Amino acid sequence: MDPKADGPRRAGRGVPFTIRLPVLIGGLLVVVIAIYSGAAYEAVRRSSAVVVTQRLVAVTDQLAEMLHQSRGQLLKAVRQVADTAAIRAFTVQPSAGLRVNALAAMWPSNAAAMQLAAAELWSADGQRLLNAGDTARWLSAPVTSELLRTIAPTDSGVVGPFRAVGDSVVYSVAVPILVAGRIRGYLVQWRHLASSAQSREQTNQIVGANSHLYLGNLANDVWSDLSVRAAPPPVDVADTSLLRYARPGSGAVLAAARPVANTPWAVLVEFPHEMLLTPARLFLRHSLLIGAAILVLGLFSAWVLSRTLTKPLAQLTHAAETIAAGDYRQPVGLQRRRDELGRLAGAFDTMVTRVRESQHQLEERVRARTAELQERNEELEAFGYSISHDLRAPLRAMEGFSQALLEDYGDRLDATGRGYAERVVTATRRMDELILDLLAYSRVTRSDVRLGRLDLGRLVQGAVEQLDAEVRNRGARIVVEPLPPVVGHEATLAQVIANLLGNGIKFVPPDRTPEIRVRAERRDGTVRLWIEDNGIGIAPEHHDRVFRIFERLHGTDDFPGTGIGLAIVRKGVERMGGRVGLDSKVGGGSRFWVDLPGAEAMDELEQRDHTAG
Amino acid sequence: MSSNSATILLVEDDENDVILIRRAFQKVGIDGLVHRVGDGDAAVAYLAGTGEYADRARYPRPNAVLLDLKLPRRSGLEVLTWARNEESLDHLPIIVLTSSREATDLKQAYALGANSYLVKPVEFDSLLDLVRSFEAYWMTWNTTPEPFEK
Repeated sequence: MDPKADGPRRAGRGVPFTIRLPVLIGGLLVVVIAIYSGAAYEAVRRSSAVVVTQRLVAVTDQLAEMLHQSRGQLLKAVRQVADTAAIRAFTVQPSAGLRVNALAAMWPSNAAAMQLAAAELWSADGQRLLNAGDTARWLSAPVTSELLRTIAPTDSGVVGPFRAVGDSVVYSVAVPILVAGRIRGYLVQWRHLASSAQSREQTNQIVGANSHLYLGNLANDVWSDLSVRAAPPPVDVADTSLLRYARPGSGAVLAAARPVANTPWAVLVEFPHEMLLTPARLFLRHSLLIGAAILVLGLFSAWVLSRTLTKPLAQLTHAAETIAAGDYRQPVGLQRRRDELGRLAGAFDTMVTRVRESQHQLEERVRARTAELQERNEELEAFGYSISHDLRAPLRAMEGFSQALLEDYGDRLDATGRGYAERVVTATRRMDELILDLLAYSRVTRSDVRLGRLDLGRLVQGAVEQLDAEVRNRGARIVVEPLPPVVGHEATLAQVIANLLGNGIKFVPPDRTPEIRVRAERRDGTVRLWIEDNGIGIAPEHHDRVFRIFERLHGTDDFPGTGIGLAIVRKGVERMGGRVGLDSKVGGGSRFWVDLPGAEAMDELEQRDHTAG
Repeated sequence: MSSNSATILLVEDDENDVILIRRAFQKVGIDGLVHRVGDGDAAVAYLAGTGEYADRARYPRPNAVLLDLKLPRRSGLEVLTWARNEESLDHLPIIVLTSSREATDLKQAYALGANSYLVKPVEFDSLLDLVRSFEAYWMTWNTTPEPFEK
């Protein structure tokens, strides 16, 4: 089976462990670091959001309260001015003589330091009596009368909404002027909302450096960042929950707003959303740095680990390959390790030693067995020699003396006596045939069969000539077609062909002329030699039997023979590395075939020997 | 060379074979010239002209030897080896006549200098053919250098 056949599923199997293990561990580390960093980032971001939110709410509440208190102080301060004798007197009697004193009280010399933008004095019936400061810029009669309408008779004064002119923002403080328990007029001060450096420092301490404080009207029309006018937030500042919006120029912000009690004001603290993420980002950066360090360390450790694992494995593989190549002498050399690999190497070496020993034993045994076989073979040869020499000697005597008896004393024997003598002659000849065939079979079985290129045509011709007597006796016709060269053993193949041709002539009914055709066909490197006769044929059930030794299908009276001829054929062909068989039916003649390697096989064999040598 | 004066030494231990071979020679008509010895030592003694075979008038030097291989005392191959080492006998035609068809025997016999190798046939008619051919070839037509007389 092709190992590449089931492709992509096993694509990773070709990657060496020195890469696979670090990649696996690195991947795991990356996943762990990513999950951990993500979760931690989210947690830090949330907790910082909670802290910021709480802080925003607390700061806003605190500021609203502070502003509420400063409202009281403002009103008190303005009331003190309104209570001065000069102002009360002028309000009761707005004469030119009192006007200078009232103006001095209303607009003291340090007015600018007090952030005063303008001041005005109104009568209880809604007439402006006096004004001071940047009146043209800030004072507007409808605005002031609108403001004064909000002062209830019992009230001690009001703080008005912010007003903007250009970039500057001002707010008004109005108090009634009471004379003998009656409201005789109103003092209105317009103040700048420009904070001093000191107060800015103070608010910064409260709201924090990153936050921005805004003051504006609850009506959301005018806002200030305490120095100049600012854009109103795009939300309803009456909403006391956490606000989220984008401020042009600052980006996304978190904010909290609070109305300042008893004023039309609201306080707003904005915190840049960006600042909220800063600690989380910082944390993320640190954790990623640490993660990268861990990853590098992990990859290096994995590489070192895989090296310590794969190096001995590579050594083992090398040792196994050396052994596969037939060299058993090299030990693996990992025995000093005490781990599993060391034990594996030890077991491997033991195995190699065992294999080497058993190979030696096997070789020794094969050598002994070969020697034994050699001895047996020699014994068999001696046995064959004895048979051929000693067994045939008495046969010769029986035949010769029977013959001599017939020749010299035939006239003194009657017909029965001569018949007996003739039977002795026939029997001895049969016995001789049997012995000769047995010797031939034994020779084919044990002789040294050396294969070589053979001229098949010449061999067949030789066999035909050898059978000359039989051919002439039966008037047989033998047709030999052109035959290709084959690989075989000359004497053995000659015997095989002679036996097959002899059978072809012999097993033919007496009244039929034997006709034999010898031809060959090439089949994919082998040559099939066909010897076809017109004889009595062989029933298919006997096709295997005929090749067994001493098997005979007919009585000796019909077709004389020993039953060894085809056994010699099969044994001989097998010893030459070929096959033999037949195709026949009763009465239809027999077609024996012999498969032998073609002469090309010999060329290949020589080529191999040549390259090997 | 005349076949009348030719002598043949038959080295054969089997009495039956001796009778049959003699009968065959008889039928061919040269029986009187066949001298027979029954073992290897006797063959060597006859060829060397020693012992009882010293009388060359009675035991003439043979013109050809028919040598069996399986013999008592000294084998046919040993006789062959000895004969080929004798200067006076190195051209003497020695024809092996045996029952053995074994390749080893054949190879050794030729390697040791046998001039021919004949296998004893079982049928007497074949033996007759063989003897007739032998007589014609070795006694009538074959020529050898004159033996070196001691």
